[in-house]
Amino acid sequence: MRITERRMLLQAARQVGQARERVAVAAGPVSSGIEVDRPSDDPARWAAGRRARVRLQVGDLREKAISASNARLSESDRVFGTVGHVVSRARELAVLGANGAQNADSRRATAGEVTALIGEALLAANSRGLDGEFLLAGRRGDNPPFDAAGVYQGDDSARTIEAAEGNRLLVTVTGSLFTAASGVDIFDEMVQFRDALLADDIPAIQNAIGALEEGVHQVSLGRAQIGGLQSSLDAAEIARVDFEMVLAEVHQRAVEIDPIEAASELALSTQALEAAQALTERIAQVVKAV
Amino acid sequence: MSSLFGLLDLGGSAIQAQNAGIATAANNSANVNTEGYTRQRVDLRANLGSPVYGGVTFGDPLRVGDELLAGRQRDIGGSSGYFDRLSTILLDLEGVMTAAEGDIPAGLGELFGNLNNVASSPLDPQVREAAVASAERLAFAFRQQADEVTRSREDADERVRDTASEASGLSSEIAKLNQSIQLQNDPVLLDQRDQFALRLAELVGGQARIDDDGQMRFLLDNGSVLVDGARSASIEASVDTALGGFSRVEVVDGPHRLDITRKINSGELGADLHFRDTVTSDLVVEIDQLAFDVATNLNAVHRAGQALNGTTGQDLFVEPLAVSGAATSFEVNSVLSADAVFLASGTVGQAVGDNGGMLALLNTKEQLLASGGTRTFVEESVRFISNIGQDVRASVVDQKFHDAQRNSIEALRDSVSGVSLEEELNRLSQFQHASEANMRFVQTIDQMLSRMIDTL
Repeated sequence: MRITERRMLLQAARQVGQARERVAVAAGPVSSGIEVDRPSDDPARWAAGRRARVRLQVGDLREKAISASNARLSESDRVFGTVGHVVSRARELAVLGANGAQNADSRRATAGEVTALIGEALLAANSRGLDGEFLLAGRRGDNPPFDAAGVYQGDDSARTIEAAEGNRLLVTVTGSLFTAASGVDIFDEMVQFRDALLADDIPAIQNAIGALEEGVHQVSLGRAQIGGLQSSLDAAEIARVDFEMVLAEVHQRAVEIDPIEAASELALSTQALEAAQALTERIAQVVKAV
Repeated sequence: MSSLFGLLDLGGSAIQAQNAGIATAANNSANVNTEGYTRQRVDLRANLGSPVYGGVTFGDPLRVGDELLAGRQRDIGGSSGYFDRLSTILLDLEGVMTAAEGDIPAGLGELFGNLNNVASSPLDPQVREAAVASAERLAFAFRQQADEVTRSREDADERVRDTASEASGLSSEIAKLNQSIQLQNDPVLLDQRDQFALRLAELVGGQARIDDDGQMRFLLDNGSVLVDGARSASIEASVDTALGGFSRVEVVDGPHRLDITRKINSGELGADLHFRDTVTSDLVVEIDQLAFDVATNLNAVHRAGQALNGTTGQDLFVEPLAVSGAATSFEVNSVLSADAVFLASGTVGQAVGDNGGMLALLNTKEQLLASGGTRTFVEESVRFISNIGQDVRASVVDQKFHDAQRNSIEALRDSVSGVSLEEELNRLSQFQHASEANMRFVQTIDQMLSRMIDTL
């Protein structure tokens, strides 16, 4: 075949161009660490990486939901702690009030303290969360869950959220844990106890001891429930972080480079470029000699 | 017997012939880098004459070309032009579809993440506003991607018009050259015609053949004649409402018009038409379908929910009237945009803190509601972008294959018609020596004549 000088030069230039392109393609992933940057780099891997990224994105936002729910449960636990402390104190006062050494005046004075305790418990039970929602109102979070008489106005519907893909968790407790539906009606019992103190009704005061004891137990159970929910949320958060790492790895496997393979390809392509350049130089010398 | 004067003539014509050889070699060397130049050789012929008196004559320079290779070059030009153009525009489209951070998959992910946050804190106004804002961003992503694809289609349509105009110009030029070549078989004109035909093939595909009369005929793949000797047809692109306002492409030959919009499958024009009428057209339908599926399904769930203020039946997005145009008109219901209280976070009949509405919306994340009930929204949004990647890869592979083919044919053509400086320098040297020898011959005859005249 007859080969012209121009063809030799064109061919050499073409080979240098191709070698340079190969170096550029090989250098990109080495510098960025990303092998699949565009869908055309590898459509299947790109799609897998993109889906993983969306799941990571949803997971990131899920962290906020878990954290908000956990904060609400912590607030609820504080409320239960306050109410528990109040009921416990009321029980102590009941024991004291049932003592024969007490007289009607001292019982009336104790009733004053119980009234204050009821107010303190009501105030706590009607607490709002950071988002302004009443913590223990169930679905009726825009209204205080307990009225002035301590009667529960909320519902017993707890809230669920998506704590993990395809996994929903209960994340709230309601004020119904203070009502007869869960054992004794704590506020009603305290009101009855106060009334008994005012009426100097010793048998009723003695009865209140048991009921308030039950109330203390009931609040403890509520706190245990909150603790259980928090544990579930903590576990969900740990699982979320673990899953995020798995997804990050899926994403990484899909789009990131194998450093050894990439470095080898870069070395090979650089060698090819050097060879092509040397060849072009030689051809240029031949043509120049002509 | 030849006279001395006859020998002088012989020597003179020989010098002229060798000089023509020098001129041809010099011309070849001068055009060593001229694209499409076909090397020439001088046509030397021995003169008939008596045993002593003969000499040499020369004709017009001859092109050392190979019509078969030129034809193959034009044939490959159509597919080369097609894949060159297609791979470039698909790469651009891929860039456009993946450039923005806030694309549709990201928009969907953000929306679902924020809906879960509303499920966690339905009464928190900031969380609700964040969810509505993410719905706005999803709507923007749909509109933006649909707009980008539409812009790409419009760009392709503009190129269709430009290509049609350039192709018409080339047809006309080839016809004019045919006419000139009929009068004068000039190698420069022949080269020019070959170059125009090659470019025309790159633009519209088709085939050109040189008939026995030396005239070029250029036919499109569908059989339409673009050039027939001195006659040429034009390719016209005109707006057609039946094509959605895009251009219809016709071959116009006098009063005859032939619609070839769907018959051009080669050349840059074929690539732009394929991109405009198939690739982007299908993509627009896919984006519209996804927008329609997202809007209608989420709306159906949202309507069944209850807002904080107790209202029900509100759409989350403006309900699309049809699949067509659903992406470009994708918008969040203005009622929700104005006040996130209208986000239906609860279940109908339940109190405000209920999050059943949000959980129901969240359910759609994993449901197969897109692409005729075969994929989730996220899967579908990733699929059609990934499909563009597939198309890009396929077209780049084809483009490289045709590029290699074109390069190989160019090398073959060059091996026949290309100028080799080494050869031309050799020829130059040969003709120069021959010319000098003939000058010496003329001088000798001249001296003989002088002596004869002196003797007289």
